[in-house]
Amino acid sequence: MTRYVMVADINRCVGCQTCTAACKQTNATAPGVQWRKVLDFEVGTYPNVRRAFIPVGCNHCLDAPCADACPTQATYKRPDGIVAIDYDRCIGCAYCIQACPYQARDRVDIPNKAYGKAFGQMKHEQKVPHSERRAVAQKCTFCVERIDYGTANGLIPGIDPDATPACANSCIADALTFGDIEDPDSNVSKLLRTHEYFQMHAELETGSGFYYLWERK
Amino acid sequence: MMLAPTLQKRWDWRAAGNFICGGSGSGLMIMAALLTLIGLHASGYALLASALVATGLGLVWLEIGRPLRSMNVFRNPRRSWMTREGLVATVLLPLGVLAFLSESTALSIPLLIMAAVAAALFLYAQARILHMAKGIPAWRTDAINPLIVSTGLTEGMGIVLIFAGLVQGNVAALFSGYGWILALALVFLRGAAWINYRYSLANNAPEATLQVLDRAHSVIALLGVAAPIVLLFLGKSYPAYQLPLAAAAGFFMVLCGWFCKYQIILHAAYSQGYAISHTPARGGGKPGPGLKPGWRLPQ
Amino acid sequence: MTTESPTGKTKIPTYCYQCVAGPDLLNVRVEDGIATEVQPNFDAAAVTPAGGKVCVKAFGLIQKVYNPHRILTPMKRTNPNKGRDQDPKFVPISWDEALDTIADKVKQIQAEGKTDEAGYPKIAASFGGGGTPTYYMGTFPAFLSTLTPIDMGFGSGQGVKCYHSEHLYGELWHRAFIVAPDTPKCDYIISFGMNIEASGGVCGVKRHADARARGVKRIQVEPHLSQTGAASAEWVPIKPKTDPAFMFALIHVLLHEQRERLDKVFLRDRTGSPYLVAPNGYYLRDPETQKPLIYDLKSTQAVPFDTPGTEPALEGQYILSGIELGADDDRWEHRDIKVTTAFEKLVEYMKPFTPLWAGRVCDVDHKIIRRIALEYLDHARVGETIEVDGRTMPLRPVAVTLGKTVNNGWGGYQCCWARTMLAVLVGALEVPGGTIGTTVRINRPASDRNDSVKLSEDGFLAYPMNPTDKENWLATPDVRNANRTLVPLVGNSAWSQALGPTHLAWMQQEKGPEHWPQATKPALWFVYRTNPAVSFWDTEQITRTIATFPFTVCFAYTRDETNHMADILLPDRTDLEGLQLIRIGGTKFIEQFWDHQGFALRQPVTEPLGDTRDFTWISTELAKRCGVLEKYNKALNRGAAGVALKTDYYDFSLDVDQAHDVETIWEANCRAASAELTGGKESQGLDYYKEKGYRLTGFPRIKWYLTAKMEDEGVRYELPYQETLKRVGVQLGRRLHERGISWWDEQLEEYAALPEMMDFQAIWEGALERNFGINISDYPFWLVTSRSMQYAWGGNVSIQLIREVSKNIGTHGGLVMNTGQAHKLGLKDGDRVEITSPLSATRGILVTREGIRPDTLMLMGQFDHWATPFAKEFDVPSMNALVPMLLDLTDSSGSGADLARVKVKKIGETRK
Repeated sequence: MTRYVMVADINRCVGCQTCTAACKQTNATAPGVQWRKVLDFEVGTYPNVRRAFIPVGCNHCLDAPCADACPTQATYKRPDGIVAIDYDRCIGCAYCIQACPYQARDRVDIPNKAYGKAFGQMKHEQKVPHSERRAVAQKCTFCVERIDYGTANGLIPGIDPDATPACANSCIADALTFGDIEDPDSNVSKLLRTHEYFQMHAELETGSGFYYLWERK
Repeated sequence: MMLAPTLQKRWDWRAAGNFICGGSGSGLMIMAALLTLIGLHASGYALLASALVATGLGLVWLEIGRPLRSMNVFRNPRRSWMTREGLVATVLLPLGVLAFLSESTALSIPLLIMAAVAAALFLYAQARILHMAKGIPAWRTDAINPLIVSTGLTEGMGIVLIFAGLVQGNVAALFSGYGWILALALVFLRGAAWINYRYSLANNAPEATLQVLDRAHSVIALLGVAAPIVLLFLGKSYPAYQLPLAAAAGFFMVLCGWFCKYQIILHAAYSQGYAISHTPARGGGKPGPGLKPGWRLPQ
Repeated sequence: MTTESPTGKTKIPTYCYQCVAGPDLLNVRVEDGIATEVQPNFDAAAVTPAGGKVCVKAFGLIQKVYNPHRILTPMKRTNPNKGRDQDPKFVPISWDEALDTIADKVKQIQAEGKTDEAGYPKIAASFGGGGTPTYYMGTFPAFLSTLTPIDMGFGSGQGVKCYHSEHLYGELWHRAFIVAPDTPKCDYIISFGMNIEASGGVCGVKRHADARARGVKRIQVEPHLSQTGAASAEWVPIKPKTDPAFMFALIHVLLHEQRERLDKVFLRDRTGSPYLVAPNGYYLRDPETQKPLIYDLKSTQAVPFDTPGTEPALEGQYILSGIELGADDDRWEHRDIKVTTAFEKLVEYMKPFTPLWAGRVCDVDHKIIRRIALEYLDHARVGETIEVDGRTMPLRPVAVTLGKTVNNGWGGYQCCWARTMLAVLVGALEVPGGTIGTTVRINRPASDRNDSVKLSEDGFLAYPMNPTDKENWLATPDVRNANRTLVPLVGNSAWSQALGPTHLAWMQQEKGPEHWPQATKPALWFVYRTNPAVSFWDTEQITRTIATFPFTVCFAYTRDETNHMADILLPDRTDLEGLQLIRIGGTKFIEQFWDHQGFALRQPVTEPLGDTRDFTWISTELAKRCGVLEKYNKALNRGAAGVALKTDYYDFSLDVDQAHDVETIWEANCRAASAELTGGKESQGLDYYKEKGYRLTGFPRIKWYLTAKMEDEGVRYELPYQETLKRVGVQLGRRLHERGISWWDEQLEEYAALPEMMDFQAIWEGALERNFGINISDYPFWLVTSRSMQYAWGGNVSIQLIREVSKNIGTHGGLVMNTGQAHKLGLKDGDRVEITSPLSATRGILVTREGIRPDTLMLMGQFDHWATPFAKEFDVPSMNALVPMLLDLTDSSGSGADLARVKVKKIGETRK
């Protein structure tokens, strides 16, 4: 069995948004749409204040509410734990957007124009238009095409850059680690053994595949 | 950037329209069947009920991103209540139309009853659609189910009351028989479901959701509960004015239901927001408490 | 299954050096000739300090190429009237017309005399901060070198808003243009406002993240909770500009409560601590050799500092004889007078600065200050050693870092001195784990700071101070900011002009000081990758001044606030379109500590847009048209493009008589680079670098620290006592007073042997009250700024991607105010407010946060654009409009600080 998950070490994260930018570029997402982003939390009141940076995105839940909601099975759970979307099947009802407690999903109906309607599409926007994604649900895919390429070519997702999501590849603080939680020797399993961690909205019992390390054991 | 729950923008008035029209329509189908069983002439409502349900689905069709692929909606009956809603509608709509078109009561009544069964499933499916939207605390509570079902029925009854005057004798029959008691009971039931719904969210929903529901409460209590009850009792007491009083009571019963659903689907529908249960230990420092912005109490 | 990697088939290696924390080696994914994606360069993972990763700013480079707002042809101004309110009416022209117009101007200047009636160069050039534009301007430096003298003193922030005091004093004391912790080995860092997580680039972030994972304890002392504060073990909110008091108290605790635990061996052998100070404040010297004396405990007598086999006394007072050499020819002969060791002087001097005193000044609990001092000492591990590259060195895993506004402007001297003293007291200067320097820009050679270690006559690190003696003082400034005349510390390297006091050049354009040459306007001003109309202070005045310059040539990416006043706009190729080889590795700014050094190539990854031209082509064409081609080619052969093309063991020099195309020039540079790295064995050219992207050789880690070199050469750090500075200050004062100049007197006071403690807040308050006739209590808030990692240095305000991702940072949106304070004032998050300083007013959105002192406001970054496309829609204010340029707020090093006093008024309702 394999289950790919993301581990974010929030001791390491500094909120630089390099992952946000890398994800946007790799996936050519629309202006304003961020499959991966880093939130800026402030906890407490002056002078006892803490600030934490929290990467978020699709949690690739074990018990994915989006997949349960989807009337078309366009959103589905892969055997390797990745929640995927078949864009050609999706009708764009947006029910999955309402079902996701992580606000990880979007629907964009118009072609990407970073500088707005007045300027049309830039060359690179035309080059990677991703028209299959127009008017249907979209979200973080864990860069699934890299995972598939990697497993087909003997690479280890989370270790080999060509088989690792762009966000984890780009993270300059090495805060994001991707890997197979079912493999006890994987990078993510080791991190989870040596750190205290939490999952966001654990009370909703989604079986989130996104772990936040907050202290060394 | 918002960490606290934000209002969902993806479903607009068209989606709300489906819950409004679909709820009222399916409720009306059920009420029509019930009233026919207690002797009223109500099969005419079946067409209106079907039309309402169809209108609701039409509004959804206008909202989806890929309307040409809309038939894919039927592809997840095993898990999706949206698929189930669609499937039931394919039964409900023709049955309703047939019940209306049938000349003989021998045919129309069974058809109407079958349509009502489908309508009940449809109404339940609508409730469960909201219930399964885990991302919206105002929807995902168990208490959404009785509320959506009871308001659908109440709206259906309301429509019956509004148009009762169109068929000779229906108004009088409603007040002399169980009709008005049924109406009263539905108003009470929906009131109870509303209170139950709010209670279920009391510490279990974003602050912003609770504020919207607080504001909605007085409207619902006054126009959705008090007004129909007073009007129905007045109608019982003053037979000469039964027709306008019934219509007025029905109007408020419908209006309140629509208002309630509009509020829940468009205005109270804040997302879950983001939360952390700990702030990290930074280097040699200590970890700290977490935060759930936009929520009254930590969960 | 796909057989082609989904990360792309074609990846072209190049570099990003948009900010001083670079370079980052990266790959650009190209699909059918179109650049689609920036990626880390994992091929370089093993040889770059940050594992081949790339900073967020680099991801904006794709949009930078295809941005529809780009200027794509040369343009000339057709409206002769200049001003913010004037439409420049730029019209496209040919390259021929543009370059000939410039060449005519240059030739006219060359013919009529290169300097004007005031003695200032007629040609001026301004480039963005930190020297990063040179990594994009190809061979332009070679062209400029043919036109000297050039006034490089019109700054755009550098020289006053930079780590100014740190640059100057850092170089003076330990060859540290920028100071850094030895993060990989450091266990305890006290960071005074150093926003390393936002300014340290990929290396800084990676090194500190690794350190945190190891358990490093970093204490962040600053008025607002920055990204670095967020990532620190502890945040100590301190009143703005009171950091010197905090640091003095730390020193007090070490000296007066823990003296026995200090690194006395280091103090004795590596510093000026045992030097004896005579009554007039100068060292007691040997009458024969004039060498400073120490008291030898073995022979119980005073001997020259470099006498072998002595045991110098660190503490104590002695009755001795000798001479004292003061400023100019001042000389005193002493017989049996009381002299004191420099260390003893320090101990006495620091006595009043208790934590209790500092706590009141800084508004910080004094117990916190004492605890931090003790934690610092506990972590210092005095006495321990570590082996690096086979050499045993002290291990002192403690460091103190300073950020902007702490290490520049009044108080900067005190902070830099105190920080360096904190390292010195525990022997943590320039040793593994401790406080170390990065690179040199004033000392020479720039390529290796170890090689700049030279012994002075007094036994210290020799320093290229600008002369202040009668014969050699530069009485008439040679550039408009008068750097060599007023600031001895700034030296005379290629960087010195830009180190300013650069605001002086701008200030004098409106009104010059007494007894001073009348400031003139440059007849020709080149501008590249800088926008002083937005990034300097008093932006309104700067904008007005720029509008009066007669002929301005701007290399232009998009329209902006400075090139709004230009006469010619030249569109050069952007980062991903141009060709250039640069030197990388070794030790560089911020936290670029490499185990390798060598070269990296920037190359076109895509077809250039429009009629833009490579900077090297532009430079060569200008050289040709200006008639300086031969000099230009000779400069290239000398190494003006980065590598000497001819040495004893290789020769790739270019024919000096003909104009060479861009590829030929870089081919020669690439071959020379290969030869340099292989000792002449190999000579691969452009094709090699185009394919690989970079070429490196080892850089020994021992060179990260000066210790080995200092020990080998027997050099001491001139600390704690500043005899040299004291003498220089007195001499400079005499020179200025001889010319009747008294407007630099306050600055002269700063030349103290032990930095004087002052009420630094009062300096700002007083200056504002005097200059603007205001009552300071009407301006209740301190306004500070903070680094934006997404924007800083990048010149990338018109990039949508950067705007989008930067908005995820909560403090990016407007004026940050303490939530409780806002509540008290009846203000809410999202309110539209007007921010008024004694100088000016600006407007923006209020952002309420808990992580800021109630008496402090913060405006991140430098926005307030009104001409730059896209950015002019931001509606984000900048403090630059609010900060005046005042002589009173200029310290002796010529710098000021990003600090203002303001009031806030609500002018609009909460946005929804």
